[in-house]
Amino acid sequence: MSEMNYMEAIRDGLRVAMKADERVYIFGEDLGPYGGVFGVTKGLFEEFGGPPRVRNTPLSEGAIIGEAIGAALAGLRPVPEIQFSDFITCAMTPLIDVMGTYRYRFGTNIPVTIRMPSGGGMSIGPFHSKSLEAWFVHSPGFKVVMPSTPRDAKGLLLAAIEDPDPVLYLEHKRLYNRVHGEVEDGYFTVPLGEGLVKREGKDLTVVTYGDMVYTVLEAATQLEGEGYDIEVIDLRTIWPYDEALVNASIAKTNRVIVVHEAAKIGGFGGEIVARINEQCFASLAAPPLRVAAKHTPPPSHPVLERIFLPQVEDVVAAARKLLTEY
Amino acid sequence: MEGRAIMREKGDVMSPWSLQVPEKKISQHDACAMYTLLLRTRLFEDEIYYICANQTPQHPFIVGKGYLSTGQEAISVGCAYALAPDDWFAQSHRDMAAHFHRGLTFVEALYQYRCTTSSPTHGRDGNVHFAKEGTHMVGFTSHMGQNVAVALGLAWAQRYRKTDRVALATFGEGAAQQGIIHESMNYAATFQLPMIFVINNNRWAISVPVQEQTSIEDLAIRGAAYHIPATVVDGNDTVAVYRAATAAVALARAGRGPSLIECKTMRVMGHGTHDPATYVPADEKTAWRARDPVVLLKRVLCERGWWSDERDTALRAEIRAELDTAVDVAGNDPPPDPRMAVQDVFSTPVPVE
Amino acid sequence: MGTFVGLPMPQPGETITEGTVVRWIKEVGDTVAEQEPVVELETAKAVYEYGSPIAGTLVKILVDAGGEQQVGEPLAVLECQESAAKKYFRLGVGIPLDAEGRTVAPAAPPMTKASRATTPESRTATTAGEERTFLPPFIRTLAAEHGIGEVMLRTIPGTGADGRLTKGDLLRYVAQQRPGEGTPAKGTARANLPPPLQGSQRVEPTPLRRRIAGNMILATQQIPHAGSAVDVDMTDLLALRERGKAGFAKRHGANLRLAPFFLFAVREGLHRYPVCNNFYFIGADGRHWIEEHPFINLGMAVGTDKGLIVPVLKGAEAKDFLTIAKESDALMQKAMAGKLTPDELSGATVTVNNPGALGSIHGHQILPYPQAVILGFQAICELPRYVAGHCVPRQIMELSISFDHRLVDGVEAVGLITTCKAILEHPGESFTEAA
Repeated sequence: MSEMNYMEAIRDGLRVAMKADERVYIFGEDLGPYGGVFGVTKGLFEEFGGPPRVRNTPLSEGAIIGEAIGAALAGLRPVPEIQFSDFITCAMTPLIDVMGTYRYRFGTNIPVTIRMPSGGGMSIGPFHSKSLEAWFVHSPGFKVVMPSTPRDAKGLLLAAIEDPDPVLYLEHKRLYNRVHGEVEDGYFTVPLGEGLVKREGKDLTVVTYGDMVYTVLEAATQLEGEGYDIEVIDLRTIWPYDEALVNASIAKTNRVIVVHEAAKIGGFGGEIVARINEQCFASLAAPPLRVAAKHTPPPSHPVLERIFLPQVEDVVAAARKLLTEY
Repeated sequence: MEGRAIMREKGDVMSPWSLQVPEKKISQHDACAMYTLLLRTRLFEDEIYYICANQTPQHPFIVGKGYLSTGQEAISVGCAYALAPDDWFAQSHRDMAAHFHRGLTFVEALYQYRCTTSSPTHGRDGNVHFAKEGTHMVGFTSHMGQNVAVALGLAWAQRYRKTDRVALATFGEGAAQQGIIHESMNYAATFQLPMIFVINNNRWAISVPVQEQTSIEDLAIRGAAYHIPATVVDGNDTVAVYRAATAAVALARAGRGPSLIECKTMRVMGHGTHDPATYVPADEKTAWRARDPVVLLKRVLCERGWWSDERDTALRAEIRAELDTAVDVAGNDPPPDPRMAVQDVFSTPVPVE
Repeated sequence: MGTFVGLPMPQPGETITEGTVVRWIKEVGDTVAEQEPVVELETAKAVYEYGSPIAGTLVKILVDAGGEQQVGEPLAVLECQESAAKKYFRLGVGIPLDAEGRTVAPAAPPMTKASRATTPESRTATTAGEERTFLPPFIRTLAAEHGIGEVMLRTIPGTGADGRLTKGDLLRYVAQQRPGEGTPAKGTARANLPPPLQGSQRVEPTPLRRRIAGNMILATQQIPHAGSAVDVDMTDLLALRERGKAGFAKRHGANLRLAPFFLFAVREGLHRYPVCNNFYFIGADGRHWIEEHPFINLGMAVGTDKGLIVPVLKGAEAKDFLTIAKESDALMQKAMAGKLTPDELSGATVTVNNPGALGSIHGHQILPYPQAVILGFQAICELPRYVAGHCVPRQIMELSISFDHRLVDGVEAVGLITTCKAILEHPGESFTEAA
């Protein structure tokens, strides 16, 4: 076990994966000697002797994703980085229409893990703060993960690279240096598709992932002071998510809120809520609620971004509504 | 009409970035094999055309339409013959010849067109959207030019593994106007990837003529901008395509990076079998039909005494018989199991609803 | 002789659905080669000479110049070589026809018909208030787990917003119903039982006994009971039954009991006073509801060795005496044998009690919640009565009724039993089948 932060855990995951499997290589914009714009890959260029294991690319997201598909077809395990998940829009065709459909149409696995710094809360505006998971889930062919802790960051990354299918690894850039924790040394995985109960409770279930896990845990502590016992589930894998865990929790609490920092309208929370309604209707005491971002581009100034992103008080208010009105 | 009258002299605008294509002797065996492949592709696609044009919507034999390489087969044939079987061929939609060259049978091709249970895609995709397993080809996606970006990775994997294999990607002049092509050409040149870009310039993107697609006469000059050696060849001349592709493959194998070959040809048919292409001037079609690659290669072979009308008639009859059998076999293949609709998106069970 | 093949109207474009024949280039008797122009067609897109995909001899023109045809439907019949025809059929290029252009083979394997949309089963009658009082889904689920039905669920007082039933309310109720199980409400002392009498022991009642107890408590707590009674002179009816008994058994293979006479009379009375066949509810939200039934289901209380059982004669509103007699006889036999199905034990709208069978001459009954009336047929006693000024022995029976005074007034309740009385006292008018 070693104490490390979220960014170090991702870096360690990349290092361990590349040492374990010579087919694994990383590439992307500024990812070489500079170590990535956030420093996630710092030192790996030197450690692995640069190309072919660690390689810079031009600003060509389409070519990066195209390369990943071809390299996977040729038997490699590419792990490209899209510098900000926002920029994946430049590569939507190879991503959605080639990579996502390839196995279904042609029967060949595409083992690619795409790392995408995602999420907001850092006052960096409309094109560096987005949470696009709903798009990726909506498009068939992708497993989508978003770890919230250093341990999950490393374990999920290794599971993603091991997985035979395309995995979109959304790492929350706000957590890079903000969260620390104990992480197993060497190779270990956190299985895809398994959620985690971060806090047990009996009155209300809150389903969330990514940075919002911390917002929700804070809200739960506050609600505890009011006599409410909140269960918090970190999905960790957004798709396919741990439906059994979520449903079992609702069977116990009869109330649920889904919290994410992507836009509420058309967001993945809507899908979770719909599935809960379909599967858990008879266990519900109250309508499932969503707490999520506004349907606007992410604004830059913190005063505005606070409005845009769900806050602790928003989660508390939604919880109170469910706990007192039903 | 001579090809040169339609095309510009090759190389004159591209110096100093011309791809040097040495004169190369073609053996009788190779020449006859290429002709056979050319003819097999032609007769197969004529059959697809006949079926698509005449099948009733009430009892269709084929699902969807045919997207044919008729009149442009020389490009796929020449490129396919320039590659080793374990080189990658990231094909476009007018490359049925390459599929046949790499082992696809008529029956399998018909399964694919019929989308039946034995088709390479199990009925999930149709016509030219497939890649037979193990043939080192890439399943085709309708978004033009995407397989070129995929070829970057195929080529990069050869660098990564230090092999001397290469990746060849074909695309039309229509696809050449996509941003992904520019990204890919720059990317391949930057990393000196063992890659061959082959433009099938058939002058029409459905109904938009090439002069409305771009202001340049020769798309090959774009190679200069990316420091990629390039050349223009007569796309209806199988041997010319083969020679250029062979030269490009040799460069790539030698670690000298990508090349670009623009093959000038003409889409004498519609975009698909549903398209009568009435927008194409009749004399343009007529002029190019006179330069049919099958006719051209046959003439060369006969001139050298390697081929005869008798052999030609016999070969056609043989292919025709094979086709008739294939139609019968493929006609008995049942529709896909409905359960296939919801399987295989992932390797592991993931809900589809 | 070759095979006849229909030349279909082509589809020169995906949006084309039909075309018109401009003129026939070939005539009947002409030979047509593959791709040889055979007909000039006009479609929404163009006028053009159509090259036949089929080689053969033109034997019949089905659509003359100026005529229209749908895409894929035949324009003409060609006679072709058998091998070629086979291929045309295989590829869907030609249509199998006879020389006259009539379909000779099924054009296609019969399409799998989409399964017929079934009419959704008509909803079963809902108890009052079902759509009227908000019962959260999980409360229904929890109640079902504890064996609490809809009707009883509505009687549990709610403490949530707007008087809604909460999980706590339900669990408290469950605990009260089953001492020793569940969680008692906070602050509510558990019922303090007196010590058992010396030498006595306490045992748990059977589930049936417990259910009866629960129902009795429910009915007495919820329903303000009122009662009335009349004497019925059964002399003539008994005589009629005595006369008809043997023949009835012979004819119908069923005992001619007294019960069907009572059931028939009650059914007639309910037709006259239908309010007695309704239910009255007060929801947890305080709203009042009357549930009206389009049917009459008569519960017949039967004492068995296992306790009180009430089989239900369904659809009594439209049954003749004979049917009632046969069905009630069968139900009673099944009740004695303990072979009633759950369906035969539920759904009563009115209960007919027969304490007279036990010797009771006078009684007062508790309503089976949520029914509005229960009738009691007491024992028949020989008593002196004045008939035409003379005191004579007559067979007299008390017919009593308990009724839900929220819904039913004396006018209807007494009206119901006097109607029964009139019918039973003049058996010759109603019971000809029994005679």
